[in-house]
Amino acid sequence: MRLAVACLALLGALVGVGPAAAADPAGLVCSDGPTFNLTARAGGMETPDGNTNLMWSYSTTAGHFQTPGPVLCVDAGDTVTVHLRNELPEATSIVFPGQTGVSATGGTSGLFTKEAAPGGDITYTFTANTPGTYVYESGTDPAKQVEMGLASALVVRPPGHADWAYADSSTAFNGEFLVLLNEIDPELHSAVENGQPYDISTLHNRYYTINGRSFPDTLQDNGVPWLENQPYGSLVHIKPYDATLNKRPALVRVLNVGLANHPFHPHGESLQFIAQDGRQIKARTTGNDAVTEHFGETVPSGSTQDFLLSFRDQDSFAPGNPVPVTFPSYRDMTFKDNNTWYSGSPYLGTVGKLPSPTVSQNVCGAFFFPWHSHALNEFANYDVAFGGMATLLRVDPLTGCGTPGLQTYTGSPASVTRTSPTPVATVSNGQQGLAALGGTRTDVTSNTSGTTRRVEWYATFTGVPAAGVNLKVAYSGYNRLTGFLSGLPWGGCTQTVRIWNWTTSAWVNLNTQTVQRTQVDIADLLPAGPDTKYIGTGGNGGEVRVGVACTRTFSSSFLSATFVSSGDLMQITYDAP
Amino acid sequence: MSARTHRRRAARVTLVATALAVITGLLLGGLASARQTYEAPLVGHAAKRHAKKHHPKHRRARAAAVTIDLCAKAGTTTMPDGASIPIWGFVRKVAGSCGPAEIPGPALEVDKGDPVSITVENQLPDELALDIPGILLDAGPTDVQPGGTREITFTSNAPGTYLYESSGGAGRQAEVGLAGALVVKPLTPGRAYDDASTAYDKQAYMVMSEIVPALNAAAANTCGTGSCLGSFNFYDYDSDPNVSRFQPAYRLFNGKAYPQIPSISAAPGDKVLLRYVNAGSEQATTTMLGVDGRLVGRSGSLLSAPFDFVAQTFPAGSAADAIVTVPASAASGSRFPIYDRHLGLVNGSSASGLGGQIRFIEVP
Repeated sequence: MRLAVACLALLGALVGVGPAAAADPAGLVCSDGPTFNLTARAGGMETPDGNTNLMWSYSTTAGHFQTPGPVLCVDAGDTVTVHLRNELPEATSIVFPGQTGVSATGGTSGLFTKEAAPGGDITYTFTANTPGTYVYESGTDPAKQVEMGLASALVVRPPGHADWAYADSSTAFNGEFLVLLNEIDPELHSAVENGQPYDISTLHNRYYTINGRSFPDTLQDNGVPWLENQPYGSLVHIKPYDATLNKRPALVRVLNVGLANHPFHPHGESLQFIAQDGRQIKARTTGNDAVTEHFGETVPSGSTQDFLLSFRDQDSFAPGNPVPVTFPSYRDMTFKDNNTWYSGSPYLGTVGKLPSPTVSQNVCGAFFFPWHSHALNEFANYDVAFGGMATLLRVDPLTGCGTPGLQTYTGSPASVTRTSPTPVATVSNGQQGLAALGGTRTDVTSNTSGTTRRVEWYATFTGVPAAGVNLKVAYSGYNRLTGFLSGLPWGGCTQTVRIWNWTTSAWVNLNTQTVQRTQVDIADLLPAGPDTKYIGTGGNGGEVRVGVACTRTFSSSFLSATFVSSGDLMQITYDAP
Repeated sequence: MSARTHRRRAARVTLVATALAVITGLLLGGLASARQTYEAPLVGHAAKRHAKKHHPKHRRARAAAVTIDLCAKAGTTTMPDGASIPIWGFVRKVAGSCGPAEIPGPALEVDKGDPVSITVENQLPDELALDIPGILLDAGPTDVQPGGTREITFTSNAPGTYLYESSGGAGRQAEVGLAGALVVKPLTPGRAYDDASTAYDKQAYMVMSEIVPALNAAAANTCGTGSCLGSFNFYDYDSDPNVSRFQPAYRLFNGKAYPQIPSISAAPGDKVLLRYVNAGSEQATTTMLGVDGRLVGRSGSLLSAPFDFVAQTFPAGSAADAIVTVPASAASGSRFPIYDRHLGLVNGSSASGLGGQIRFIEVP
């Protein structure tokens, strides 16, 4: 597969109009002009839920099918020539909204422009006038052909300033990203695939895409081989603003080639809206910029919007400037599917602890923020959230994605786990019932007479700091009959795991269940706070007592039996101050 | 040069006219009664033009009272696919009688400062209420009973493009056709607003609406003493409550669907003022080819930061003013399409071929 891609790339290089060469993993991928050879053809696009939709799209004639079509990049003033070959079963064309004086040679007249018949060719020529972001799309039966995917982006750059959005130094950028919105009705695409009647009035969109992919495929790098027809990722990958190291903002080119308007909602930092449809936004009287900050903006169907993005981390949260709220302990957090982009630390460039077995996709303490359609039905793949028209903003540390510092911070310190208490057997029902102490297992025998038999014992952890918090208890054990009966099922006893409250001088039950001869692991028992009442003071300073009690009432004296409570593990965990 | 001379002369005459008006007002016991004498012979828009013709330079001093007589009545319209659709529409009353209902209602144009009176005769079976969002109507009830007539008055202070509509039937009356455009012209002719940056050579209305056949059918049917419009449910709870019955079959510019929409004829270099009014219930987004537009005003308000656009959304119930400049190099026969970018470009269904909101600016 990789070899095939390499061959295609080589072929592209030979003819000079190939698909985008090995590109950066993220960011806008240009097909450079000003002459383009495009072919309109059909191919498949895959969705994260395993579906495949037939798409019509423009591809470079020498290249692989791709959706959306190649991003055409030219300079203002260039004479742009687009040769279109039509491999679709019906006439097709290209229109260039926002460009003037587009002429067409060859083909036959259509309603909006000249068209290429099936198997035919046509050539469009125009002088790229104003720098900016533009749509190019089919001008033939657009209710069908644009919906089928015949649309993509045209980027016009100011000559001599490839890193300016406009002929205006205030639009200089570092890093350029494409966010091309679209939506798909799989039923209509299936109708085209199967030669059934196509009726736009039945439109019911199910898939929503950015750059031709649905979330989470949107996060994959540009050109990953397993999305061979969908070469454009849409991860927005930047570094924070810095007056010397990263002064320029990133440029985000947003286009909506779909039929519906989309409310696009970038988290993390507002975007500066500098232009619509390739036209800078200026005040009428002064001619100065009239840019505005946006954290939610309708992107009208067929329109383009250019934004500048500087991540400024205005709160400067850092270990020396901590988050001004009590930060929840990592052990009080849950993560959907035990998977997260959170680093475990609220500070850029650092990572912290996450509860086991949560896996973090964050390798260097980067910040991740979702960018998505706020029409939440579009934030889904065939109605299953979380998918569809969404991507992520990733902000790396200013120094790059190197080895992060392990940062523990107030409120979520490194925790201490203790597993070696000193067991103390106690007597229940006034009967002597001490058994062996210590060792790898603690066995305590119940009282030996009467129909109600009970065992009680506890163990003491010492040296727990008075300000220890987030106390958590675990106990593993079983309860068996004594002697030759020990292997028999017996129904067990009602076992309670408990903790001693030094303030009230009483046990506090944490867990009650019937346990018999099979060991039961009971973890993550959280005593109701505050935790200080479980940590002894004065002569019992630093002591935490965890107890086990088990009771069984037999139906008659004849059937009564003595049993043993066997503890294999008693453990407390707490966060040291 | 001659135009400038004309304006100077107009200003001078205006001063004289002001003095005359004050004197006349004193003689007749007040300005209001003076206006009354001008108002008496005015019947509707044509009469106002007539009055202006006799006093072409007095506008600033004495805004001409405008009387507009309308009927609201039922009718039908025919779509390009041959479907005959029942409608409710406004139509101008001429010489005491009203012709067939129109969608949209007639474009009403008044000048800044005009005292305006609109009288509506309700020939429909339901009560209606005239509303002009953005225009402060004089206090008083606006409901018009079936068979009744009511006058509403206002002074048109703010130039711009507005939507007038019936707010009756919970907005459904507007959706079946009782809506149109109202324009307040600034003091200087040929501008959208007083500001010189809004000068234009030609203007065209772009009143956008859609037809939901089930709703229009309800307007034509009788339920009790009125129509079935008010009791129309957008969800049919007896059959499928999950499917909205708001299913537009036709999308219209000025009441017509492609290919019945007349082109806008404009010469190379012309500034064409497009008066967008979304009289429908959907957000409308248009795009254009070969030209772009400058949005100069919205909701009767001049933008301090006008912006250029190719595709633009016009929310339901909104109005906006955009100026499109035809390229000076445009050859005779050039056509610049303006069309619905939500691509509802069919009449009824795709089986009809292209339809909906497609209009051309055409160079003769």
